Amino acid sequence: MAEALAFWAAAIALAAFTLPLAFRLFARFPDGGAGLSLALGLMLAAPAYFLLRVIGALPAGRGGVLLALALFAVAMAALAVRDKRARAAFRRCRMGIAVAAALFTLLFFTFAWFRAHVPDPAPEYPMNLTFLNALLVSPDYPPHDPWMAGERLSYYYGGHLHAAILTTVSGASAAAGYNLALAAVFASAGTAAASLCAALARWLLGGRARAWIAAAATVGVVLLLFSGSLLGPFQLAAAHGAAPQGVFEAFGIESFLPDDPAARSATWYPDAYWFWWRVSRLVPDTITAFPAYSFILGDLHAHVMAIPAMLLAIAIAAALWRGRGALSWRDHRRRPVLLVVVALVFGGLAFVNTWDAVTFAAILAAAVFARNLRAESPRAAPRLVVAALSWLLLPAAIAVVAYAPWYGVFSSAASGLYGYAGAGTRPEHLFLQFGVLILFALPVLGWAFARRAPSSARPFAVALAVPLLPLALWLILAAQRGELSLALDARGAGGWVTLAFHAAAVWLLTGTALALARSRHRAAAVAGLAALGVFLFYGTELAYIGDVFRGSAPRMNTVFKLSFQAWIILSVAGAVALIAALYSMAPRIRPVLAAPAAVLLAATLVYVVIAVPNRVDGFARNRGLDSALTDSSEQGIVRWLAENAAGDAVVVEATGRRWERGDDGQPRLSPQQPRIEYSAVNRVSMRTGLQAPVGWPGHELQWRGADVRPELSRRQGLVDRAYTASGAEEALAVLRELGARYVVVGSIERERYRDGVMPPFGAFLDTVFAHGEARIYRLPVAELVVTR
Amino acid sequence: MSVAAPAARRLPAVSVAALAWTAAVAVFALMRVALAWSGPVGGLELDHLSGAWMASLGIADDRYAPTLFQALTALTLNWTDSEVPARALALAGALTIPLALYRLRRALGEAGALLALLLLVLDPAGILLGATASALAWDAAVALWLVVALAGGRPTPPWGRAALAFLVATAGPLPLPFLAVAAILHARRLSWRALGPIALGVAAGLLATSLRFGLGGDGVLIPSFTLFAQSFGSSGAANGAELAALYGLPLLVGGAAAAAWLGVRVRRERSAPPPAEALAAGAFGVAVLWLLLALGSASPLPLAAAALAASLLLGPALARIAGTLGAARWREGRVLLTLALGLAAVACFQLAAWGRAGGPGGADGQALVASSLALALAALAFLAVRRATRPLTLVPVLVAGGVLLVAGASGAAFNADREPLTGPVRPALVREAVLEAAGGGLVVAHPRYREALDWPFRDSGVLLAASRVPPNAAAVIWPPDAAPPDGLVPLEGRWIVERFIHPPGDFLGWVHWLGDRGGVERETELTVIYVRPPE
Repeated sequence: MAEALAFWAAAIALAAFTLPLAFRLFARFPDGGAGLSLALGLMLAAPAYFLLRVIGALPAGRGGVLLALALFAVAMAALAVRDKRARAAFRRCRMGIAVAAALFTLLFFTFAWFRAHVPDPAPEYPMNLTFLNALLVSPDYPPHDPWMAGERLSYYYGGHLHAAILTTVSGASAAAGYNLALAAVFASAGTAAASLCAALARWLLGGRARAWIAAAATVGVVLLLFSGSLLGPFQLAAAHGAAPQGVFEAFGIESFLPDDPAARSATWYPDAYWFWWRVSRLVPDTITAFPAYSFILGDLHAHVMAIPAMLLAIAIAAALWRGRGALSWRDHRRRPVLLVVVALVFGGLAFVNTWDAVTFAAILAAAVFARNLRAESPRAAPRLVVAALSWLLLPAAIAVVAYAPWYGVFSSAASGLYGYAGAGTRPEHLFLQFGVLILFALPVLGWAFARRAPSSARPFAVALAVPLLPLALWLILAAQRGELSLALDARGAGGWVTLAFHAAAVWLLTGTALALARSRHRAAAVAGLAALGVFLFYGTELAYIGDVFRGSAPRMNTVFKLSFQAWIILSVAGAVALIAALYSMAPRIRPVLAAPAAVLLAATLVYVVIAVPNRVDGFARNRGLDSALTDSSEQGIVRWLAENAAGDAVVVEATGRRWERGDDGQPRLSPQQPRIEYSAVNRVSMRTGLQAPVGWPGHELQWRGADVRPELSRRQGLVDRAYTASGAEEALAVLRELGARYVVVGSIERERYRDGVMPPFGAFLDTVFAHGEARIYRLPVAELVVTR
Repeated sequence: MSVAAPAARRLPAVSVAALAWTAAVAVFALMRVALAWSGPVGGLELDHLSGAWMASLGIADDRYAPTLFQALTALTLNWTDSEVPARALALAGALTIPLALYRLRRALGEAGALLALLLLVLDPAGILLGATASALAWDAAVALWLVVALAGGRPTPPWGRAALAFLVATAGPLPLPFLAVAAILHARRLSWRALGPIALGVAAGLLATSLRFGLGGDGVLIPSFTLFAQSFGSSGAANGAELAALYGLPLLVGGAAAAAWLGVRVRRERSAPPPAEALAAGAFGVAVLWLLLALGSASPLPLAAAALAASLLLGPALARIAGTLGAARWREGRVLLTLALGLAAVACFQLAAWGRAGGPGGADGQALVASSLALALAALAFLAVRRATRPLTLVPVLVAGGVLLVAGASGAAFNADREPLTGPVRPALVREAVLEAAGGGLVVAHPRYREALDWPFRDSGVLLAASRVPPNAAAVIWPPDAAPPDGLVPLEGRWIVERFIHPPGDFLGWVHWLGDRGGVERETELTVIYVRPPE
């Protein structure tokens, strides 16, 4: 509880520091941007901390983080002192600020309470905890890779850095910080969505429609955080034997029918282990995650931690679009703070979750172009487009420079853009997973047709290019690789229907956005967001980013990441579009839209309602937030190293491969090999952040590309040789080659190096820790100390 | 013939203020000289001297921050292996503090500045940092000169701004709270022209520190940041909370009260606070936050920063209180006041007796303490009822604060080797025994003692820090819990590597400790010295 309170206080304090800047950026938001201020604070303070660490100006540890935050707080306070409007903004927005703080607090503690009841970690918990610990203990930055000693982390870990900052300030342990960071992301995403939806709704409906603005904010939060797949009601029905096979078959979800038709759930919610996980694999060979699923799963993944940052990016773009006057490079001289913010936030999206950088940079660019085109007559369009480009260029350059130290050590496994040649998504799957969001966003079309003018056909004509160009690109990409006929043949009928639906929706929504923008209508932003959301789905039906899964499930990650972005964008656009449509309808006919919308919304909530109790085993036991190791010997190993080992020490622990003594008496790899990936075999590096020579090799391949495979094999071989060496000399030589300072022998090592294949480490290494059968050995130290 | 009577020689007129300043400066110097002269090398000073020693040998070491003072310390260690010249340098810096406060008379008021100096005279953390050769020895002085420049009421010439910026950039973290608040308060009237010399000074300072004053660079090195960060991870016998309770209570409580009073006055009078007090109040808030966040750490730095800011805040506040007390009707309240003080003294004596005995006494004694305190409070309540005698209720508070301050300051200045504030101390006895036993042969130390032995063994040749004893070792410094090295025998004696002074464990122990500073628990890290057996 104390850790949760400290973490909450740290988050609230950072948000409070950032308020003066939020007021300046989001002056037209009902809450002055208070709901976005934590995300904004983290997106600015984290790169500052990162850069100062890289140049060595800030030391490691709590003091360094506090210094960075203190510098940030001083800058913000100075901004407030210089900005005469800050105090007035505070008075004007105090209700919004109070609501944002209350909402954050409610969501944070509710989620922390939920996490305290979760019995088992998410599959990639070891990986994410390793990242978090690396950021906490690495003596220099960019942080070292605990699973590949001597190398820097090659991943987009900006969100983990946010978690590390709040964890360090609060003094929480890394394991507790992991859970509390998730709670902070959950709460921050909620307040950010509320702030953004309220702003967009107010711009559309006017300041007097307070109840409707609040409704838009509420629906936005619900769609973002609590809505799930429509598979939820089906899973509930199936668990209680009310699963009509025909209906399941009609929706293409017969695989969700219980194996035993007579089986019944013992609890009111489905009791099958992790039943809720299966919704993320609804579309074959893809991952179709959404925020509620990810929060229930509880992986501290980059795409999850990026949610508040994505909403912040949309908010900045919306605020820019809403401003007056055309933008050009000259504006940066007048508003240098905005320049820095845009550079760090949009550049930071790549740092937090690289997949988001292009999508949200496109939103920014669209907002700037739209503002410039709105500012003056269409005749000046070429000049204004050039001005917009000139405005965008400088933040882009600063973003590249600011994050250069990270880019310098980041090697992406992406191998390029490929045309998708597969069956595509069935429309019924699309409906079940994302249909409600798309349907909620469609009412925005009403504005275009309600304000139809003779010339309004032109935007729709121009908008045709938006679905057609990617289609052409798909054909070209497929043809280029000689897969054209395969791409055309492989797509099933359902795939074509989905593609056609997306194309039509993209066309209509884009046309609407252009038409509204042309007529300077405030709904243009909502229409634009809706168009982009659907476009992302459309894009995943046509192309994918090649990665290590290209041979098996080529578009898995593309669908996963882009549909996740689409969910976030559409939850904002959908909430505002739906509520605005209801507001503009005559009260008599409102139920025509409100009733089905309410039914659909309720249906999306079923997933969360049944998944949460399953995830926490019926709230059977509060396990606390700090999920430490249960084995006291293992715990002792971790604690000793955390307290005594230097941050740059290399610790040798089991590779995870199992060895045994062969018939000839020599150590050999066991024919029965346990799984390494997704196991806790690298528990020491995971829980201390110290460097092990090798961790999860499959994941290192994903992060660094196939070139690293030989090095991984070499390291695995060396570590295994150290544990199976025939004598002291061989073991010492190998350990020195690995640069090792410590060797761990715990329960995992004893199980993986069995039949006495391990050398007697105690005879030639210093035993620095012993508890039961657990040992930590240190390589002998001999250092000449000059005193004269 | 008449002889004119010689004119009476007229003594130059000396004001009371001048006398008071002279006396305060004398006591200020005396307290620090006493510690510099006889204080043990321990705690921060030991670490920073070790770092400076390594730097003087041309070896980069994490303990070499380096501040300008530490760089100069390293320079002195090129000529002598004694800490005395470095302490003399520290004293020279500390002795500019009274001058800085003298320059702040306009901002704090004559009495306010004088009282602030008096508080700094009695600030235990300030005494320790100002009279020993830690890297932060000049920090308090630099912070105060920063206040003079920012709020002293006179413009600082460009060269002065550049010099001060250089000193701040090469100082430790004590000026940081003042700097942070100044950046906020001066943000509105920031002029780029005024920033020029400051930027120059900062750049020169950071260049010097990043190059470690000639030792070689490795990235940007900001000593104040490094030392600030270290203040969160210090280990020792007393943590930040205990140090604050033992040495900082009067200044911390008084500073908080003064800051609150300043806030009330500003709100009531609807006026801007005096710049120096606003700066001090802000810096006090930042320093207290630092102290709270570093409560678990054994570093005295946050306490020193808070005490420094509190002194600047409390000085003017005490001057105002003195005015209020002067206007109070002492005659009417003297009986009740004397009664309250007497009863409180009785209770304190009883508590001290319990502290000596190691536990509370019987029911009679408890009844005596409770009734004494209740009656004392009742007497104070009677004083508070009447407006004319209400200020007198502050007298017991001031007396208690004064007693605590004097006890802490005298402990730090005259009794430093028995104070938790200065520890841990590393006696040099081990060095003499080991070097004598080794007779010029190889001395081996266990890696556990690697850093602890740098300063005690300075200038003694080459040591080998090793986890396994080589066969040619002549003398070995080894942990008692490790297996004894083969072929060597222990040297008789009780060898101490480090000595920690633990703070009193409870309230009664604390009361006892106030009167008997030597009666606290010590913890010593013992070691075993192994030598070759006689042939």
